[in-house]
Amino acid sequence: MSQNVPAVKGAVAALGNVGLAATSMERLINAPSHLPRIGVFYGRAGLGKTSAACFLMNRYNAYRIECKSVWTRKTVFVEILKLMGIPPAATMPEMLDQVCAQLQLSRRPLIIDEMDHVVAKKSVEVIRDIYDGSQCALMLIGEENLPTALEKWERVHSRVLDWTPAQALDLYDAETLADFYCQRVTVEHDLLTHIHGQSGGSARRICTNLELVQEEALKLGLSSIDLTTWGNRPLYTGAAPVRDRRSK
Amino acid sequence: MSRKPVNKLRTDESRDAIWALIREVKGELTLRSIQQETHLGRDTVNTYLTGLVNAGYLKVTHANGGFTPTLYLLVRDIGVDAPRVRKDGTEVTQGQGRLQMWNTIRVLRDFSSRDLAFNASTDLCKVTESDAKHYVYYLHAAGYLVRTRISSPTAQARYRLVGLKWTGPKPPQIQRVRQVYDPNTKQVAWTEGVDAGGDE
Repeated sequence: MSQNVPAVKGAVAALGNVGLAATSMERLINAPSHLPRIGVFYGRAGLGKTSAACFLMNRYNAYRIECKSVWTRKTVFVEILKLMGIPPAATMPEMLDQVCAQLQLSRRPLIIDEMDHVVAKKSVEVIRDIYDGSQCALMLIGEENLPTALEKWERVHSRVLDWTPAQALDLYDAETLADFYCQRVTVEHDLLTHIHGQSGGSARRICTNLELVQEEALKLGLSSIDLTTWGNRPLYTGAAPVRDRRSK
Repeated sequence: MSRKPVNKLRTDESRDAIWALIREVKGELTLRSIQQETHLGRDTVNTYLTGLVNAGYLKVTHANGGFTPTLYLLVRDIGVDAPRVRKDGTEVTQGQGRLQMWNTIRVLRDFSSRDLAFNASTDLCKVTESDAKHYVYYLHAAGYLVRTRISSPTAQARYRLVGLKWTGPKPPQIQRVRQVYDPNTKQVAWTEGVDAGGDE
């Protein structure tokens, strides 16, 4: 984890992936001017990439857009301008100028989340134009095959300073989540280990399971719950739809 | 004189208007010229200009002497967002938590107050769960959020942002008179006792 970003207990900042993303962002912001300032943060769904992006946005006052599959080049501009609170100009070249000027002056980083949606389209060129015109710290976030997909765009690929893969959550992360999400019930260590194992390192699944466990414990009137009490009640593993998960 | 509630101000009556004017002029300005353009009080403009000078955004190119007024010049432009400074030039941090929550609501697809507090906190500005609950209550009342799950004794209520209700980058404000003012649309989105602002 980064030394520059002190972890806050009971907040998203304490998670490993957030630390990785923050370290990468600091590297981009502090990069000397002759180096490129593009970072790529990638990994499979559910690892908490978007939570990390959210933290970066709040911590470094960054602009963050989330791409959608239907987006065109123009939508990229319009969405960024909306975020900036600037009324969009009529044409794309003018909008490019507006975006670049604001990024350059404010020196705020730009985060493109769900980059996968636009990586196969010409919108990548638009993002490159924005980068070239503003030299802003630019963080691209996407699924695990994003680095490969970007290879097609040599002019973007060659400008990447920092590739950061998101990691599966460890037990320490699971504890952080449990501390925050299960405040009314103590989840004993053996059960937490079980949840962590069943969740395959996915933040989303750990959260879902923790809430499931807490609800169940409250229904049973317990203030703490361990693996023996939980028994073999099903947990959400993402493997297949579980029916009637609350049956005893 | 007491400060006017934000919804009673005219839209050009704000620091944003002063900042926008300073950027637009691209040259030297006087207190009087700003006053004339923005219709703001002398003290209001003066306080903000002093803050901007102390923070290094503006430079005094000609100090007040004899018959010539003080001239100000923009030396550090940070874009469309007006710098938030106190008179001594230090940064205003009030409202940072609300800003982080407003940003975070847009990211989280479906959330409880606890999710919001967890995700909106940074090492520099921590958002507590009670802050989140308070803000969510008002945003829901004003129709920005829909409730996707009612709270139960064992679980918190969950909310979701109504897609089109993200009106802009500035967080809606809760006024003391229990109403929600949206600085993006410059309109009151909800007043307690008046039916929900869900459909305007």
